[in-house]
Amino acid sequence: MENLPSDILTQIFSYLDLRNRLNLRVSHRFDEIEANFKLKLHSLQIDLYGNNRVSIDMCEKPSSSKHQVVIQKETRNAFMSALRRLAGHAHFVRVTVFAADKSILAETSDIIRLIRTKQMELQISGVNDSNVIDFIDNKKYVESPYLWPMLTGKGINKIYK
Amino acid sequence: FLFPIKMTSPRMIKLTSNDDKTFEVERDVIKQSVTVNTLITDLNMDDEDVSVENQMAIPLPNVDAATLEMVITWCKQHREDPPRNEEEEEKKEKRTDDIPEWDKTFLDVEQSVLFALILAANYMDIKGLLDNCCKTVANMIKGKTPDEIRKHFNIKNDFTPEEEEQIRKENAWCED
Repeated sequence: MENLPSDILTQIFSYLDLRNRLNLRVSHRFDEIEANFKLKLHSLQIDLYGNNRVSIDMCEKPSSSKHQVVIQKETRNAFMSALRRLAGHAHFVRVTVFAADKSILAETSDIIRLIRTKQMELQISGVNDSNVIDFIDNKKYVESPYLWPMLTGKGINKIYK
Repeated sequence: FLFPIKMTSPRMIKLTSNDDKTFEVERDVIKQSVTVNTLITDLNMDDEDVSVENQMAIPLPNVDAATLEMVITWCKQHREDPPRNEEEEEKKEKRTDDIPEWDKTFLDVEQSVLFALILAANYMDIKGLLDNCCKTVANMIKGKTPDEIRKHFNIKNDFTPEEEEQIRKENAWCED
């Protein structure tokens, strides 16, 4: 397998979840493939403004915007669909949820479940939103008490504020 | 009135492996190889006036006869597959549990044969075959520890103990 070209190994990596990819750091060559794969991370940034707009930035690196999709309708479904698609081939997806109010944050429960399954990193932040800060600081979300245990489950390694 | 019926036999293409074995394969079968397809077009080999006997064989210097035979078998099996839409394929969730049963059996071969097929599929640009081969390898990796992976694929551990410890620490968060 070591003799396969890097692009083939990268394709094989793309079919593995994070845990299996980390287990594949078995030699310098594979470690390098993993490191390069990591550079191709798709950073997914989501702005949820009410239920009428989702902006998804898919970037090679957090700072380099590659592609933006703005979806007007069926916000949540479109968002979930995009996230599932990314989850398939991203090393990890950094998800930024700009939550405007509690109801929208509650909408993220499915997202968090997916993130947990796919072992992705999660970034939650809010724009002038005390609910989000409460959610992170107090490790609970009163309106949706089921969310925090999901967050602290295995697979969520870091929560950024 | 009786009209003569022109019997048209399928258009054949000749391919030569790197160990000088020549295969005749139907044009419709080998069109799944983008590399061969492009060569056929570029070299005007679709000219019906040229019989297969007088036709130039397409050399495949990176593929041996045994592997080429397998590639042709795969292409024959998949000749009726709908054309791939790469844009759609890219959007799909990456999964490895969707390998067709026939392919699973076909790809249940020695590692060296599987890797030769991967290289051939890559060189001949047969995306369906390449995808299913890569998925098969991914399935072989899944659930194995680093040591089990090294043993299974005969990969030499070239890390120093310090490097290995560093990786273990970095991966620790993902452990149960």
